[in-house]
This record gives sequence, structure tokens and C-alpha cells, in this order.
Amino acid sequence: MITPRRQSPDCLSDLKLDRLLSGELSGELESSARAHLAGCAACAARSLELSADRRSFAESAPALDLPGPQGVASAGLPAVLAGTVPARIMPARQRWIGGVVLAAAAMFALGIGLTEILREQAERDGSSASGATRTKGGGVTFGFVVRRGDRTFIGEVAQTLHPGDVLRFTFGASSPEYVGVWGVDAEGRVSPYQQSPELARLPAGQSQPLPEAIELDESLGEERLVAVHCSAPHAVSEITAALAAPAGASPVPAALPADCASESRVIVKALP
Amino acid sequence: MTLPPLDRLYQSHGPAVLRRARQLLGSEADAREILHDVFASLLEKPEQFAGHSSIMTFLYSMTTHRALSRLRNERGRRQLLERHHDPEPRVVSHEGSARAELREVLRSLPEELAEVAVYHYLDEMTQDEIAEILTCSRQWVTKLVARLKDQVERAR
Repeated sequence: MITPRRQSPDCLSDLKLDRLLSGELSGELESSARAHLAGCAACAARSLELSADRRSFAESAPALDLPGPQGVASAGLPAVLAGTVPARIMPARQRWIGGVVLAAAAMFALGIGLTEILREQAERDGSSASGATRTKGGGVTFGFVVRRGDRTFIGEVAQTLHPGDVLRFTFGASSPEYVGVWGVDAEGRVSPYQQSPELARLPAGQSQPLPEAIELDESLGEERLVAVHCSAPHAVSEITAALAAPAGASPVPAALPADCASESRVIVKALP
Repeated sequence: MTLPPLDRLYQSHGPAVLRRARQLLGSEADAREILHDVFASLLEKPEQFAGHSSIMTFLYSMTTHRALSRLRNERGRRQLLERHHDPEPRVVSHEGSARAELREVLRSLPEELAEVAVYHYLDEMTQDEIAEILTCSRQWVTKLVARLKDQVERAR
């Protein structure tokens, strides 16, 4: 097992040191922690290690792929969280969703009232009250509709999905956009969720369905989807390469083409 | 207690989340995914943090859960592959064997004990700290640690 670091019961755990370094401790707790550090070489050394770790993080912190302020507001989250975290793409594990791309997405619409569902989603988007889509600058929305057996419903924030569910992605913008959806796994493998070699051109409007759908496979867990939308045509392979390309020492993939931006969604897959 | 703005929280607490995930998973790529997932999840569901503990304590717990879940999923996949006579290539660890050994133990322990093992062996937390992070009594922690030690002994 791991060789113990703490020399005495009074020694500070990593948790206590992290709390101290992040400014969570105050008053007597902070004083006693600092007093211990002043007299304990082992804890002082560990504190230096953690401080160096923090500096390294500050200098090369991986960017987060999080929705912007409007998306936060539309999801009904407190405005306090509408921070300025950079909206970039970072690899995320997508092993489980490597489901079958259904090229004939028309089957998705057969007998299940997709038109009504999309109209409902568009109404939600219009009122900015939906948890089904994430909204960023320019009124862009990204969501999905789920077909489960005979049921069809709009995917919500952190939607729980089941193996066999079929997802039809939707996208909305105030001008025509070229759109595609990807998953990026832990090893940086990027999986496009469309068979077409080009991004799909969608007309302006809310909740426009993408032409293809995917069926989820058997694996379980919380995962992330990335939609890339561009104002000009691009090959799917070009976007795939941009998402997969390393960016030097940073884990953040190389930048997308200048006319493109991205949206992402977290979904949770569990057994029924 | 409420969460500070997420960008500030990321700068102040992100290093601890990343380091913790790295310690548990032994993979920088996996650790960065956990870091991402933790903060994305906080954005999606900020009400997860109920203010019953410090934010750092909460993030330690959240990171631990996600990392252990990933370790268990890896184990499940490996077993599935072995059943189909297609074992994954052996991965040579670049880190100390002690951490690799701990990771193997964590994969095999029941969920509750695996979490206690992380706090007790890896973090060297006091029983009071473990009680806070598990939101249970110190007496219960004492029992869990005893069960953990017993299980680890029997596994040797």
C-alpha cells in the first residue's frame, strides 16, 4: 500500500491542505493549520507540492466545454454560475454511445408524431424555458428527441437514456447553419454521428432536425455530445480532425475553423 | 453556503479535482475527463451541492465517486474481454507499484469500502474528515475502516 506521509495525528491531510490553499479555511482553523505547517517539515513539503500543482494548473488549465451564460439561464440555473469559463472543446469519453447511425432518419418519424414533438420543442426554445436545449450567443440551440419503443419525447438536461433509445438531434439558429454531432472518447478518438461526408445544412429556425439519428448501444454512464455548427460548408472529416488534433501540451483540441462554434450536452445512460 | 461563480471555483478548486482524479486513475487523459465532467455536472445541477460540507470536501467526494465508477467500469470491460478470449494488452504502469496495487484493490472492493479505502489509505484523512465527507457518524467510520482492513487482510 501507499507509504504514509503523515508523521503524526496532527499532520494535515491533503484535504485540509487543499482547503487551506483554496482559501476555504479561516479563523482558528486557518491559524492552527498554518501553525502546524510552520513546525512540520513533511506537511510543509507537501504544501509546497500542492502549491506548485496549483500554479501549474493556473498556467495550463484545460479549458472546459460548458455552455455560455444564455445556456445557463435557459436551463434555469442560478445566474451566479454564468461565469466566463472558456467555451472550448475538450475530449470526453463516448465509448458507450458509439451506436449505430441511422442514415434513414425518416424511419424515426414514422407514426410517432415527430412533427408535433418538434413543434413543442420549438415552442419551448422560443420561450427559453426548456431544459432540452442549450442556448449560446446568437440564439443557437442544440437538443435531441428520443424515441423509446412507441414513445417519443424531448431530451431534457442530463436526460437518462436507455440502451436501444434512438436519438434525433435538433439544432436551431437565426440563420442557416452547417451542423454535425460528434462524440470524443477518453483516448481522444472522435466519432462523427453522421454518415454523410459533409455537414448538414439546416435552414434558419428553431429545433430543425438533423437528417440522421443514432441508436444507443449497451454501455452505461454519463457522457457528452458535441455539436459543431458553421456558417460555411465543411467536410465532416475536417471537423473530426480539428476535434481530434492535439494542441501542443494542452489537452484542448486544435481550434475549429474560424466560422464554426460548438455546443455540448451531457446525457446519462442507465438500464431501464 | 452557496457555490461561487463556476469560473472562480474552477481556478481555486480545479487543481485538487484534477490531482485527485490523476491519483486514482493513473491516467492524465482520464483525469482531465473527470475534471471536465465534475464541473459540467455542477453547471447542470448546482443543487447537488447542498452546503452540508465545505465545497472542497464535496468536490473530493464527487471526484472519488466518478473515478471509482470509472475503475469499476474498466474492470467490467476487462472481464468481458477475458470471457471472449481477447484480453487487453497489459499496461505497464509508469508510476509506483503501490498506487497500481491500490487501484487493483479499489476495483475489487464493494463501493462503500472502496470509497473509505481512498480516504483512509490514499488521503490519510482523519476519521472525523471521513465522517464529514461520507456524511455519517465517526462511529460508523470506525466500523467501516475495521471492515476495510479485514477485507484487505483476507485478500492478501
